[in-house]
Amino acid sequence: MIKIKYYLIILITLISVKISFGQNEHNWGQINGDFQLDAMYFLNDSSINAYQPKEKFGNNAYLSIFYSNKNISAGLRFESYLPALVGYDPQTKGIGIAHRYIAYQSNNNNLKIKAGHIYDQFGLGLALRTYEDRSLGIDNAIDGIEISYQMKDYFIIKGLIGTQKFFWGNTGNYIRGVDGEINVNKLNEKWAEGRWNFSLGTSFVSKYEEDKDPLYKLPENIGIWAIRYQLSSPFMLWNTEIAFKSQDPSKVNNYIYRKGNGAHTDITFFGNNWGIYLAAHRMDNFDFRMLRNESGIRSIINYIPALTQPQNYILVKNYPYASQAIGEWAFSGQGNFTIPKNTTFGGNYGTQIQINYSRMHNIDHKQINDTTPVMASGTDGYNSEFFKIDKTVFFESADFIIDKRMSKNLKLNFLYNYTVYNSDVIEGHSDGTFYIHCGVLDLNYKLNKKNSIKVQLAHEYKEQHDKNWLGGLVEFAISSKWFISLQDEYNYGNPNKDDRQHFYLTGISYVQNATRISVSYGKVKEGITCVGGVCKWTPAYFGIGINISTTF
Amino acid sequence: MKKILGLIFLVIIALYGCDKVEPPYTQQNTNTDTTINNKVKRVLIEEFTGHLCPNCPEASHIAENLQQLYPGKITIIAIHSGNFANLVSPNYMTDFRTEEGNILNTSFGVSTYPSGMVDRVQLLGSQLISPNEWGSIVNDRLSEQLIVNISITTQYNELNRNFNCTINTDILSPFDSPLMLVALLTEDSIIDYQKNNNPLYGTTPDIPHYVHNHVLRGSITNIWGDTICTNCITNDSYVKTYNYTLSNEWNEDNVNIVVYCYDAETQEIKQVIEQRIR
Repeated sequence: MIKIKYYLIILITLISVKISFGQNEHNWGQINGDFQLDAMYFLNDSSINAYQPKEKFGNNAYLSIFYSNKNISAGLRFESYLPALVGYDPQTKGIGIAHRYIAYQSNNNNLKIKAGHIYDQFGLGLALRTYEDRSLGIDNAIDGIEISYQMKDYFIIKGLIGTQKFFWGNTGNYIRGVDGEINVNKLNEKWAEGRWNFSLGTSFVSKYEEDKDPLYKLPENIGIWAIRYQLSSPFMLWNTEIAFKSQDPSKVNNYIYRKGNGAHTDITFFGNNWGIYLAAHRMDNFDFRMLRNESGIRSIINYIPALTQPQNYILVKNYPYASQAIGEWAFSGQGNFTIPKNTTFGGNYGTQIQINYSRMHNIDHKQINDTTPVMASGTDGYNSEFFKIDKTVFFESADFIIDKRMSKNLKLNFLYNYTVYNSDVIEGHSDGTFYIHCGVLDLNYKLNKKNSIKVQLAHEYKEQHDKNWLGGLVEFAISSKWFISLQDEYNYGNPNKDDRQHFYLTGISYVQNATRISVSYGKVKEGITCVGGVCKWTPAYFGIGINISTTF
Repeated sequence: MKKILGLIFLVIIALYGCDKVEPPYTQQNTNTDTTINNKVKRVLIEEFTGHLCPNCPEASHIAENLQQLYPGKITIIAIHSGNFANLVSPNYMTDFRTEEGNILNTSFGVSTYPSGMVDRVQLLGSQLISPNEWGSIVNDRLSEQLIVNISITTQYNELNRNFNCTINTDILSPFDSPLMLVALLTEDSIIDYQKNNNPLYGTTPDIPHYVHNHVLRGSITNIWGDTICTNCITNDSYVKTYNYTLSNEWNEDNVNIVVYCYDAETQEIKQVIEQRIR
């Protein structure tokens, strides 16, 4: 409780500071920010393998303050993990300023200079993506200097140099990157008037990491070069990026010396009542991180665009896919259609239909010679034919979603999902592949202007592992301020009777303007949490949680 | 436009700034100094492992490669602990766990296997280090200045399986933190089952006749050791004598005594020595 009081005092102080700035006659610039506290008191429940840690109370707290005045802006974020919540890297433990920067931009916005912690992305991210995601506990900011310059209105170039943030310190290795993009249309007046837009970009990112290993001869300067284009018009958008990586033996690739490459393309067509998205990519030995001996989400530099649809429904969301930078062939398609109202299937309000499909395979691997096994460390690892797809399926998912308003007050969503989930590859376990069928019915009923109720029912059928599940969720929204929810996921089909557990979670939230305060109590099963194909493992936990968030 | 092309050209040039390593990719062992000099820094690798851990044979291979690269300078202790050391019938019923190993496992917060510590030094804030990083830290540690020298004399009685050991520690440089001394026993060449997922190191998923080396068997001192000195002065010498009876389950020909000194404040291991008890 002392900790919570401490954060509330900080919050109130900051809101006061904001008010005093606003009231002053002098133009001292603008200050704004946000605050978030996620705290939990952990309890023991050995039946679901949820164990109370030695430090029973965990908390993640973030307080960001951003200041801007004319051409100058600055920001800092204070973070506290005393200790971090279960599932976060134990090395996050600590308290202090985790993010700070100062930036300048010229009056015409052509020149931008930033020093400190930098978040940026080159193209689709195959060469570089630095960002923060609190749900994953990822913050791979570059601590350095970035300069970007826009030449006329058709060319922009940016360059950065620094090291990478690593928990409360940095990796100590250097990273440098340059990115340029030309908007081809604007080179010529005639082209600029057309309905098509075409831009070309290229980037190069390299890192330096000293070779201190007595067993291997390691490259110290490792780089990725990427080229990309974007073609767009009022009815389509097409993105492609291809990247090549130099030799990069690391823990993730078992110290092989094969060069890496990655290629991604996605195209979207859209009309009045429909949209179609198609995407494919191939990653081949394409894991790139600042520290060659790290794995998981630690010290990553680049990003593999996710080709699976994020799932929000109960049960279905328990099987996300983790992108396999080390090697994958991925395909994805999505179609959205609206059946017009006042037709047989459209009813009075129209019906929306969405179909998603994605499938991920391993890439082809061949031995480099008859005597060396595939992926043998200290060798070139393997040979691979680009267009040959290995039979091993990592993941497959098909969704059929109907979104229909039945009356003025009742809205109904139905989802059927089929997933093939290779847990050995995705989670690193040895539970094999699961073939999952899941159906979800989601009802939203408006009781009156301010109150509504949401009911979700789900059933998961599979023959493997822990077998069948049943899920339910009820949520009341009262006066648009109070939200009360109760959900349960019940593993009724578990072959082991002792493991037929309920994972219930109940919560109450209060929302006032930009502030949300919520209290929850319940159990969460172990599993992976993914955002955009980047995942972390979270063990099962049971406890009482408090969450506070606000912006000012 | 020329400027733009020039910049793109610079990017392409930068690409060639990447290092290219030609085969063979591994270092050839050029270390011909196989003499064991008492007064050189030696390094301890504490490997957290388990017979159910499929990635652990690879980690053991890395540690033993380092032993071959630096003959006589690396001591390994394989600490079987955590869930991967549990007993599972029918093949995994040999209990390699020890009370001491469990204490170390809990105290150092080991949660992933294999992992290990090299002289218990920290790398980026953590003492637990993944096997592929052991080599570079070993390299650094071997060039550390030696501040304490350890020597052991043992007398083994075959009849009652009892042995006496006398451990001499000589302070070579002044040291103002308490210096602790720990004596442990390890056993080599235990043939038993081991999980494995890498065909390079044996059959998968089980190696029925895996050779378990450096297995922690117990400790002669307390696991956190005896204090040698709290303000250690150059040329001071300390002598400790211990007596221990071997378990009948151990093969006396394969039992080693491992003695190390560590800084009580930083937990860094300052010197380690290992020898057969007979």
